[in-house]
Amino acid sequence: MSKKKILVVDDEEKFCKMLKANLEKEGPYEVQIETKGAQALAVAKVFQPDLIVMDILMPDLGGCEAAFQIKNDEKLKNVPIIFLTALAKKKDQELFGGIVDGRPFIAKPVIAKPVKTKDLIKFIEENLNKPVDAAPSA
Amino acid sequence: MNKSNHPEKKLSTFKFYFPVVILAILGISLSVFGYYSLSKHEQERARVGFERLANKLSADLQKSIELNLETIQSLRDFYVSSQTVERSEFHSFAEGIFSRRVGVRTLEWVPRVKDSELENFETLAHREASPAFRIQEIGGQEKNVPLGRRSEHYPIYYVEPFEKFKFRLGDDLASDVSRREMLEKARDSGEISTTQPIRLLSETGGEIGFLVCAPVYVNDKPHNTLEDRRQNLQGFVVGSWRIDEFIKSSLNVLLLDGIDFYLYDGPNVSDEFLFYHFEAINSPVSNSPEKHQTEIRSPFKWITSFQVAERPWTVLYRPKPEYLAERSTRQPWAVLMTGFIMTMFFIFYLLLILRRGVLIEKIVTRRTSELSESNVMLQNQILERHQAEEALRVSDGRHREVASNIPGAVYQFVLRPDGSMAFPYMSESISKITGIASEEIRLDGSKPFTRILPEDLPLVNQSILESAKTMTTWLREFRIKTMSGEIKWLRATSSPNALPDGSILWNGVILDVTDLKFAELHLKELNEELRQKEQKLLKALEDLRKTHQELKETQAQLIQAEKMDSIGRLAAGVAHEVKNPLAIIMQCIDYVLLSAEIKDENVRSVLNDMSEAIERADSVIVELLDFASLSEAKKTSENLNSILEESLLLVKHELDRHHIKVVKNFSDALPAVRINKNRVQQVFVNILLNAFQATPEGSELKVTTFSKRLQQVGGRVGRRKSDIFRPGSRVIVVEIQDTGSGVSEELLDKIFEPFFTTRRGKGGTGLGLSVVKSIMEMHQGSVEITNNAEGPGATVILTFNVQETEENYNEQEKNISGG
Repeated sequence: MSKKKILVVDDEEKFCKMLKANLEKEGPYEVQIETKGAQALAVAKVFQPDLIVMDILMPDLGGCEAAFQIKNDEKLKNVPIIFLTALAKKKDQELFGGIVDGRPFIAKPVIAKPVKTKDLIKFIEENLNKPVDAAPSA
Repeated sequence: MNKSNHPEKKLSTFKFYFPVVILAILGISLSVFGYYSLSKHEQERARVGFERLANKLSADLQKSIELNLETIQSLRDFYVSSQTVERSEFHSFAEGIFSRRVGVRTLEWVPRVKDSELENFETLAHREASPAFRIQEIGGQEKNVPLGRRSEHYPIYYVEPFEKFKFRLGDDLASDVSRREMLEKARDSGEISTTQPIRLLSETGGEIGFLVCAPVYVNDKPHNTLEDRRQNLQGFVVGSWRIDEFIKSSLNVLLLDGIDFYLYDGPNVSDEFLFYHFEAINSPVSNSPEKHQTEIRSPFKWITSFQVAERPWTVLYRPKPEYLAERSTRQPWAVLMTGFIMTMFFIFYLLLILRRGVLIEKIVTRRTSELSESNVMLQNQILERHQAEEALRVSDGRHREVASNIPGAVYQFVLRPDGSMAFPYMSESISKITGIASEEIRLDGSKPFTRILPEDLPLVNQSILESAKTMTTWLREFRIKTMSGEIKWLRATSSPNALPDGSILWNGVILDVTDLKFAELHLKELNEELRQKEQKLLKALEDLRKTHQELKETQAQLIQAEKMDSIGRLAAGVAHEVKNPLAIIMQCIDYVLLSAEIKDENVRSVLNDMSEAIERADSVIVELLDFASLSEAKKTSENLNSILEESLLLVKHELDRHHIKVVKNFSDALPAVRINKNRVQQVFVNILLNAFQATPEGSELKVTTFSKRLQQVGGRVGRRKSDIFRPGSRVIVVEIQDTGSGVSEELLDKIFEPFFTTRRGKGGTGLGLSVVKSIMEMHQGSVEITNNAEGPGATVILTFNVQETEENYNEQEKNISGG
């Protein structure tokens, strides 16, 4: 069985590294990390992940906006995205996630940091096996 | 006194009878005049009738005369046409005439016998007529008078009717003057001639009558001149008539009833020539001049003349009194009598009236004298009264002046037992107020009431009756419509007095209070306006207070919100910045746990402790965030029992861990409440967790729910703005009772303050109960904590307000009555 490709986008580089190590150790995953939201789409296009774990509050480009770009890509639109954020409030998530066409774009599910690796893997597995949401309309 | 009245009495007698006399004269005159004119009229009518009759009779008579003369004429014509007329021929001709009944008495043929031929004639006569025939003097037969010596003789040779008058044969008509004159006149003129009235000869004596003769001349001999006629005369045809028979045959004597008929031989009415007098029907013929004279005095007569063979006859008709009496009616007399009777009656009536007048006059005189006596007394009294009146007038003038000049009207009003009303007195100033003259009001007591406005009238009437009943002063204000159409306010007041006849008299005054009333009304309006303004002001003040209160609350809320917002923003930032490192640490711990083979159990334990510490730190952050974002909750209608059940499920792990037994005492009839489920769940979980921490292991936790209606004011129940609960509103109470150590009295007030905790350093953030309090306040509810009265531990009492919509209420009632 081939490893599932997981793209982790988070501006905390240390967290990304630790998460990559834990995920690859714990599950049969191939994890790529990206610390810039603006690069997420480009990396995803190349990497072709099976699932994307996306931070929301990032300095250059908000996770929501980045997720929106990915969902609008013809090849990537079926890739499930999990938001993993330190923002506990939905209001904050909307506020900091970036505005797409005048409204915030929050793709579910959202998992709050800090999270135990076990819990996250459980969550990833659930979403991998889940049929993918249709692409959001613009 | 009587003496002095004497001439007066005469005068009065004259006065008394004067109209009677005048009436008598007038009545009699009128009666007589009526009688006279009616009589006159009747007489005139009788005269016309009489004249018409007389005329007709005259015409008849004339016609009869002509007819008789014609017989003589026809006999002469018979002689003229024949050469000789035999005795038998004469007889036959005469028979024919007599049969016509024209009234002829005798018809004779008288030949002319010259004295020289006398003997020859007699000789022939002896042969032809009778041997006894001889010419003789008229009437001379018996007396033996010898025949006189005359040149010519006119003996009667034929006579008819012969038997009756044969003794007349031979009578020489020339022996009588009247007859000879007639014959000679006829001979000379050749015309018919008559005698004057003569006594006719007959066997029985003489009757008055007349003769008519016509000359017959010898045929073929001329008789145009007098000489010829004397020479050639043959004889005469003579007829005689009795005048009475002639008249009776000529006239219808029946028509002469009551009329005297006189016939005169001559052109004039003269007693000398009276020929025939017919007095009345069946009256004997008379020509007595005396009688004629007496009866000549008739009111009218009819006279007419006509010719009988050139001899004038005159006829006179004279009506007798009987004739007139027959044609007069009794009407004039009736008129006269009626007139007299009426006059008498009127005189009688007049006398009666006059007598009555005299009687009355007497009474009047007596009364007058009585009056004059009392007049003297009265004069004295009047004098006294004048003085009193003068005094009264002065006083009255003063009163009138007062009544007229006071600003209103003074009046007296009477209500009689029969309900009728009157104003015996009303001062003149009423006209200034109402426009009705005081005189009119005095005449018609109901008049002022007609001017009162219909809506005020019943009250006025009622108050008058009430015043009459209670005999208390009447005072009333009412509106009237004056004659000019103006509306005025009047104030009337009066005091009632009972009169002996049961009437009630009010003396009072009426004032025009229109201006006052309008001022009053204006004042009232102003007052009302003022009151309204004051109310508005009070309301505005109240509003202001409320607004101020609200503002204060809002300000507090705003300050709180601001505080919360600051905390929220701070918390969000802090949370992000803390959570990220925590996430890294968490990953690191996992990494360590996953990567190395940990032989030392202590290391694993340390790592697990670290992991727990991270989770606690995270929960603190979450609670802090929750606290900061309380106002964002959405409310739904929920059942508190089920939320409690869910909350107990959430803390089941902890319950089991502490071996705590939960005793549930839930009411089945809890109404639904509008709440934020998550927040309330958070409240329950917080309190339950708090309770577990206070409760020793193995003990009981009692959870009770019930619904009740708040009754008494007190505590947090009241009507003030700051009071959460209102008396009578329905609430749900949730009690969570533990058996722990309870709360010390000094801490009871502080326990709900933020960041207050008894477990600092043991995982207590000091926000748990503070959040609970905030959430309950957000739901208009309350949270209290009390130490148990019996036994150890404390009880947390949560009270929820039930918003009673109608639907909700009905449901509640049903649930409550059902449970």
